[in-house]
Amino acid sequence: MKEAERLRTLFRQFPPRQDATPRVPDPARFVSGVNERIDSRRARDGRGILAAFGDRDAWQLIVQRPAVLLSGLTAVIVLALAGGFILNMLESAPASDARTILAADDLLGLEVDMPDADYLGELSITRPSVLDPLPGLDDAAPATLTLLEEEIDADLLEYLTASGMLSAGFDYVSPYDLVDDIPANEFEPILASLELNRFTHL
Amino acid sequence: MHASFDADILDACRRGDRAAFNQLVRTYQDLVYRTVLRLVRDPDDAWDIAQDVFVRAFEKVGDFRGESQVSTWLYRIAVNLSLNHLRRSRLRTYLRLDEAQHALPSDTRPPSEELERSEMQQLIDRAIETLPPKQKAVFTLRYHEELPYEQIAAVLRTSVGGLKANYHHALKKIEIYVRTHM
Repeated sequence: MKEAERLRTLFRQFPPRQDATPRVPDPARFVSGVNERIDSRRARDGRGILAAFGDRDAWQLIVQRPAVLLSGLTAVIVLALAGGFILNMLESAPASDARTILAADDLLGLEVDMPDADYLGELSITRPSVLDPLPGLDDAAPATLTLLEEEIDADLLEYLTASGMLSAGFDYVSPYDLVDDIPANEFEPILASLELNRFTHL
Repeated sequence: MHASFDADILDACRRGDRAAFNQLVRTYQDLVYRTVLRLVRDPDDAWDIAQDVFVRAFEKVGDFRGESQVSTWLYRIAVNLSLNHLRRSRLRTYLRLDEAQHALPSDTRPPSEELERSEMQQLIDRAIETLPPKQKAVFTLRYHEELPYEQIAAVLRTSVGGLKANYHHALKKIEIYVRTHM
C-alpha cells in the first residue's frame, strides 16, 4: 500500500499539462480526409455494388425476370461449391505455412500437459523449447493470467516456461496484424528472434 | 458529450447520413487525435491513424449497439489501431536493430518547448516511451485522459482488476526509470 500511495503522490506532483493538449492541426482538412478515405475504400472493396442489393427497384427487376433470378441462383450455388472446395483444400493442407498463426483464443484454451503439437505445427516453429507443455500457466494467479492475455511483461517471465512465453508472445505481437506486411520467409526469423530474446525487448 | 446527442447522431450515421457522420468526426476528432498522438508520438502517423479510426467507425457504426459511450467506442478503436501501429513499427525496428531511428520525441522538440517543460515532466515522458504498448495505452488513458478505471476497462476490454495491475506495473517501471535517470 505504501508503495502504491508513493507512486500516486509522484504523479499527482507532476500532472499532465492541460495547455499542452494536442488538437487536430486542421479540423476541416481532417474531416474531408476521412470522407475521402471512406469513398476510396468503398470504391475499392465494391461495397457500392453490394449496396444495390438494398435497392427495392433492383430486387423487383430480379424477381420479375426469372432468367435473371435463375442465373443469380446458379451463381450463388457455384460460388458456394467453390468456397467449400477451397475450404476443404485449406483444411487438408500441411500445417507448415508460417502464416497460419495461433489465435489468442487458442492460447487461452491451452492447459497443463495438453498435447500442443497441433498448435505448434500450425506455428511452424520447431525449436525444442516449444515442445514443452505449459506447466505453471494454470497455477498462475488470475491477475497474472489477465496480464498474460494482454502482453508480455518482464514480471511474468518467472511464471512461465519457454513454451508459455512463446505462446503468449504470439498473442502479444498479434501476428494477424503482421502477416499482410511481412513475407513468410522473414516472419520465421522474427519469431525465432523473439523467442531467443524472451520478448523482453517488446 | 450529451448522451441524447450521441444517440441522435448515431442513429443518423446508421442511416448513412454523411452530414451526421461529419458532425461526429468534428465532435470527437480532437479526442481521437490526441489519444493516438500520445501513443504513436509521430504527428503524421497520428493524423493517418486518427482518420482511419473514423473510417472504421463509419464502417462499423451499424454494429455499435450503444451499450457504451461513443467516446469509449472511439477510444477503443483509436487504441487498437495505435497498438497495431506500435507493434509493427517496434518489430521492424527490433528486427533492424535500428533503435537510433526511434529517438525520443522530446529530443526533437523545439528548444523553447523543451525549456518550458520541467525536468521531471520530461523524464516522465521519456519513461512513458519505454513502456510496452499496452501499458502505455493504459497509462495514457489514465494519466492524460484521466478516464476512470471502469471506462478504460471498457475501452481495452479487460477486467478492472487486470487493468489496475497493468497500471501499477507501468507506474513501477516509470518510477524505476525516473530514479535511474534523475
